[in-house]
Amino acid sequence: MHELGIVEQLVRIAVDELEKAGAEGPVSSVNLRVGVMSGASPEALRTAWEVVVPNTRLKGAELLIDEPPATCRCLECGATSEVDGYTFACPSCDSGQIAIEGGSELQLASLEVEDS
Amino acid sequence: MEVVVTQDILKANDSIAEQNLAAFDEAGVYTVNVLGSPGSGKTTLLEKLAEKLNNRVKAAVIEGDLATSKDAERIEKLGWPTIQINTGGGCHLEANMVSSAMKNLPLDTSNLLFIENVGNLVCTASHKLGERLRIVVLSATEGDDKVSKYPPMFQKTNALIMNKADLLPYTDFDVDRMEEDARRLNPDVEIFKVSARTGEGIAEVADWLVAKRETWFASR
Repeated sequence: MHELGIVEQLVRIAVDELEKAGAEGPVSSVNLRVGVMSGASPEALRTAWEVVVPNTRLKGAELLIDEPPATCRCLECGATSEVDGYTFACPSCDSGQIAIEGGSELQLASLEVEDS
Repeated sequence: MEVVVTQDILKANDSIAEQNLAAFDEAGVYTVNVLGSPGSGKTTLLEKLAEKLNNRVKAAVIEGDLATSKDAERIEKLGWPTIQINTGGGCHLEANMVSSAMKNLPLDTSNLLFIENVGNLVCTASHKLGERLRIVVLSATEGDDKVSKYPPMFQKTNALIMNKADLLPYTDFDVDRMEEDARRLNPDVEIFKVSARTGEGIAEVADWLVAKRETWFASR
């Protein structure tokens, strides 16, 4: 349910950006960044994509999803590290005092457009 | 050619949420997004909080559910102006639903607004509504592992209200483990242990809410 709305929003943003860039050719790929903690499921996004996109300006484009990992900054030793799974401790010093920084991205990164 | 966009997909929701926040600030209304699973005790918590808050604040409530106005009917009995939003099949409230609902609330005579979200530990976390504060209600019968299994929800909240504490003796819920997991995700989270059924711990939550509202009001 949730992913359908995300894809509809994504199409709106893409159409605006294509217009702004004056890009008129067919879109060959759409690059998303969907962090592992974004709350959105790449699989469900792909399903929603199949439903929504055939009737839009993005018709025929391939959906490419980059899944950035969760990263944390340790409040004690200052190290920034990737967090493995959901075991939330600093991999460098094992402190539990960490701030989660990356991994919640839900972003349209770029569009690849063919010549018109 | 490559068109670089780098835009958050939920930005449309976020910008409406910012407008809501500005409108609430203008009206002097401190807004609290109440989150948690279905059946965790969100509505019962509000009912119990009303007993402790009624002389200290002028509250209003937005109730979000898929269907029915059962929760709004319960809250209206407390004397708080209430608007029910039915999302149809939608699994979370969005900022535009709140911006429509707030037009039907007496914001000029309120100073605290609770928005009880749809019961859900997943996508409600990623939709800002225009709130100043988030609280998540997690009940003893759901299990202490929910904190580590649904991290975005607990990472983004200001308070974790562990409800149904009266049932702890009948469950394997490990309060220490819940606290440890919650602080690992969110070192600044406030944790309250309450029973909305017996009233245990409710006064502390009410005091905290009033203090947060006063601090915010003074800093406006």
